[in-house]
Amino acid sequence: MSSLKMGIRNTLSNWRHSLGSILSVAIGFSALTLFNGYISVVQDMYEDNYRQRSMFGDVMIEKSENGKEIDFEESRINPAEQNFIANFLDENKDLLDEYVRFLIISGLANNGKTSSIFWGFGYDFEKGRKLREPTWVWNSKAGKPLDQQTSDSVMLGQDIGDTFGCVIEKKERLLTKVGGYEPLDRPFKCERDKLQLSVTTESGQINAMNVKVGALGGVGLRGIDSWYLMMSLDRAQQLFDTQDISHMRVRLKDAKMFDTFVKRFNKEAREKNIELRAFDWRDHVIARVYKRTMGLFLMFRNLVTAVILTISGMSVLNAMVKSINERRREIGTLRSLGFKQTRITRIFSTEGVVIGVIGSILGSIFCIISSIILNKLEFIYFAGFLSDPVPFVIGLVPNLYLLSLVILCGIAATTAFFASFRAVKSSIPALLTSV
Amino acid sequence: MSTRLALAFKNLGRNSRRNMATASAIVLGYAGLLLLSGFVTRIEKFFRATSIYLNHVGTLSVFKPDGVEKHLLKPKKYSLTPEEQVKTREIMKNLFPENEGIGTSLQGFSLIGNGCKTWPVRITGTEKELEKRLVNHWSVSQFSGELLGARRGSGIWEFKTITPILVTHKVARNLGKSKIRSTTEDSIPQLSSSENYDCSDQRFHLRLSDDSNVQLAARTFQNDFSAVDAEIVGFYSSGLELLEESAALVPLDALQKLYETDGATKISLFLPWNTPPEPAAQRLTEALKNANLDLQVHHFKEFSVNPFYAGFMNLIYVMSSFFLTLAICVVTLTVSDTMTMSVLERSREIGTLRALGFRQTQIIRMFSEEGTLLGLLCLPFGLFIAWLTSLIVNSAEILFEVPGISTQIKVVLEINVIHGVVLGALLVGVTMLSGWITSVRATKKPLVKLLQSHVS
Repeated sequence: MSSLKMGIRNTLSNWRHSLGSILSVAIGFSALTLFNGYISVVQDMYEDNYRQRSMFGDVMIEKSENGKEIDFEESRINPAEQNFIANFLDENKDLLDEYVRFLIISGLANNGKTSSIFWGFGYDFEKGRKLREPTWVWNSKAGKPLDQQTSDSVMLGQDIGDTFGCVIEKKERLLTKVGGYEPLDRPFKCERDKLQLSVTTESGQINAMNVKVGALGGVGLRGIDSWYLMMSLDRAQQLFDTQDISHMRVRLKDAKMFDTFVKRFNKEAREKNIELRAFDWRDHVIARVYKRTMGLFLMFRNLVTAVILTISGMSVLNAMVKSINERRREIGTLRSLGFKQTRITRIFSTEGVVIGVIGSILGSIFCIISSIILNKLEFIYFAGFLSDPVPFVIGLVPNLYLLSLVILCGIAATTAFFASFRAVKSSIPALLTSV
Repeated sequence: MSTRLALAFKNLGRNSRRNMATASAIVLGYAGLLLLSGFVTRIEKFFRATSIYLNHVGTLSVFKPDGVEKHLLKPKKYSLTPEEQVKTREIMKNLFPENEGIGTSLQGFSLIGNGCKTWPVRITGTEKELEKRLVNHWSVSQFSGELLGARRGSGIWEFKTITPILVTHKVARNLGKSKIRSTTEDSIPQLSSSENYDCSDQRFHLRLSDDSNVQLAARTFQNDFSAVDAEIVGFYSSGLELLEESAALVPLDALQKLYETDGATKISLFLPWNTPPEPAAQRLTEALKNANLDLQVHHFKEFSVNPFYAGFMNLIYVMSSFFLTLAICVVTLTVSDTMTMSVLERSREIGTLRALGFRQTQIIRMFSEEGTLLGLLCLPFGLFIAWLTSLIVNSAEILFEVPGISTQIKVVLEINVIHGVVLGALLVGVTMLSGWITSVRATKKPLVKLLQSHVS
């Protein structure tokens, strides 16, 4: 405790010596927090796009073979297996928020003049809405969300909508700052309102169905929106002449219950010899773009953090060495008063921590102000695979600030320790006579 | 000049330990920035080679006005007529004699079937000879070699008597096709009429799997139904994960036959690798306008024709620029910090120089040169560390998963000379500026104060 008091007192009384170190910490803190704040916002956008907008929830349940993953397009959960899942979910209501059945659909869509491949899902409209809460309940760029329409309506991705000549009447930037669209029924017009969907059923028969273009939206991922089509599960099953579904997506009451849920489900499925498995949607092949993008961010984040921390560390070390060299006589006095070497290095390390804290506080103030200014500027750009332009936003993430504080205090304390370690080893007369 | 430099060099040596610490910050900052730029360069080259050559985007492409957005909606209206094709080719040839290729292509949707099952594909028709040149382009093997490695079978240019088709591995799998027709097979092995066409029979599926024949069916430009037979001659990768489920490539004449048209979606121009696309697009637009051709020119960096390249590189550039700004700020402040300490410590020296008749500008220049020298001395070390790291990383053959790309690519850190020079100049500029700023204030102090100042 007395080391802490001395550390604080020394930092304040030698503020001119400590200023360099404090500035170095503040600079490092700012750089680290601003960059990671930006990355965390982009990560959140992607997470939000998958978890809520694309209705992935927390857990996926899919068909398996000997407990192993199979080709996701081959996954067919029959009515008996669906019953097993429904019973399990019913028994585990305490963990569950909502679950939705999905059937993967693909085929050729035609409006009488133009054809296009489509790929997408049939799903339970009402339950799907719950999975999109709170940000993406309104997931249509134009028209109403499907849960507010009749079951013969489909939602087209923006790009496949373009292929069929669907135009949103008023062009505007729709994405709000917190994600999601304003809940407004924006009018749109298609060359022809009706589409004919042609598919091959499992038995190899060609089947067709007429549907109405009810909304434009998609999942907000470039490329996918070029084919994306969503329709009601009932109609999709009718079109493919099946009662099966491809997979089920579950949203838990608390994402922390993931392990409990997955273990419980997989155990019960194994015991009843049912070839189903529950797993994290992030491990699904559909989410590969998400996973790879996160991998890229992680790589960038690590590289940037390493470079910034090294530069800041060197800078703090530099300032610390200078500060300690200038206080050699003080060290000599302490030694002559009977202070042990370890005690003195502890005092300097504590001083390092105090410098780290002060520097981080200054850095935080700078970060908050600059983040607010930059966020107000609303610089718009395209973030990789997201199809909507997004604003350049730097996140104010308290955990990130705390982590940066801990890391930088650690660096400051370590550098102070090493800088003082050599000084305290000198003889007392040498220390007392140093200029 | 040489005296001042010698003086600056000597002064740096006087505070060697502190300057070493500052230098190490500059060295590491420079090395980090070089490595990051090396990574970005590698990714950009991969995307560029893949999109321009393997996905037929071309350096420049000419469409009908609004054709990029609407050619699938109204293919007849937004197709280039034969006359426009001939004229555009002629203009391209005359305007860019250095071109590496000019090619017409047609794009659309089609159903591909095996007799039992059909699968929708996005199909591209391209000129056989051009395709051969594009696949064998040096940049493809150098920067997108991973995608060439994923190819199986032959190229469409190797067949004259049949309609060859390349499909992605996933399309082949969805159709249950494993057979690739080779160049040495003379006759087309057809299912005999006596065979039982029973799609529910597994043995029949095995028989189909061993047959390279497929049927393509689509609506023509006149909205009639049309079909042609084709032979799978190879599996390929479009490079883009989202296209892997549904991409196919056939010769242009075959697709024109399927759609019953002599039109084309676009004409692509392939210019030498380092040709800046924007001015070239400008020149071509002018030339087309002068020839009274109402056509639109796009270049490969445009979002509309190459969304993957534009979107992904945009994100990478935003992140890199942000990092560059932060790194430069950190280095600037670190150097300024050191310089401030150095200037404060040497207040008496500054006073003495002033007393000896040195002008303020001379002293400021001396400190600026000290900063410049410090920066310049750091660059070779930074370059060496970056080079060494890139050597280690490149030889480790680490595979990296790029979002949206169907295959893993090798991490290759390419130290870009231009980036190296620009970043080096930027860092040296920063160190020079730091020396200048910190010394300006000190030299403005009265002479007596400077001479009386203490070290601490």
